[in-house]
Amino acid sequence: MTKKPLALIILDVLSLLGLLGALGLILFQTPVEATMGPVQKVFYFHVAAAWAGMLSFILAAVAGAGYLISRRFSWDWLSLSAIEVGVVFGLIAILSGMIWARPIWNTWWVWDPRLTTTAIMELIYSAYFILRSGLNTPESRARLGAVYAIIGAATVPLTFFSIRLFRTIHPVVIATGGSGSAFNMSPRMLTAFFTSLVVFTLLLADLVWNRYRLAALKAKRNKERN
Amino acid sequence: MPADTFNDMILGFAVILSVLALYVLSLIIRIAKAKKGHSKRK
Repeated sequence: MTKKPLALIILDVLSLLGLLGALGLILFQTPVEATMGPVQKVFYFHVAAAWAGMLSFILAAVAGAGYLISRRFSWDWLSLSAIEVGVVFGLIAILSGMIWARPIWNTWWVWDPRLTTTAIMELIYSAYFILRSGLNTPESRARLGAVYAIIGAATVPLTFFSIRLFRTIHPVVIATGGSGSAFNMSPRMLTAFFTSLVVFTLLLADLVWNRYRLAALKAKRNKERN
Repeated sequence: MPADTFNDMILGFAVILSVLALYVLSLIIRIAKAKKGHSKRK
């Protein structure tokens, strides 16, 4: 367990190269949006981070269910790792959205349905760590953590569909037909958009795997200690 | 004429990459600590 697997090293390198490649593509290949100007380029990583965060939380719920069914701690480590990484991606999405909003909406934050549900989702998953730290045994941490991850996952579709269910000023990025979307993306914009989604998904897998190794190492150390 | 939001773009990418870098750094430190503790007990 202490030696890093070759596949993970390869994934580390691929993620880093992918991130740099996507950044280069966004900065030098995509056109400047006609109204918003250069700040619109933050959109590619903003959406990709939000996507990776939501995917992490879904993964955490699946892993939580895996623990409740099998009672194997490896599922708990996966659930914990996915939530930690998801919170990091959620934070990136919120901060980058605020920076994008300031010149476009003339404010850092509004209590819009999408922003509010995203903040609630982030707070719910941040509280997961407080819950775990208050429990004494690995079994209770894993069991309650799994239940919390499954219930918490309800915030993911709520956040995703909030811009379709409620009146909002947040743009709909993925829309059928041109009328509902924030702006019509040119082919080069679409390339950068989908590249960012793929790169952040790779990054998500890489970070979760690394965090999983840490959880496994800690569990082994605690076992030796007792 | 597009709005002049170049500085906001730089701030956006700086924040995104900084948060990612800080998290990766925290992972590296925590894994190194866990490995150290593990090898001490051996």
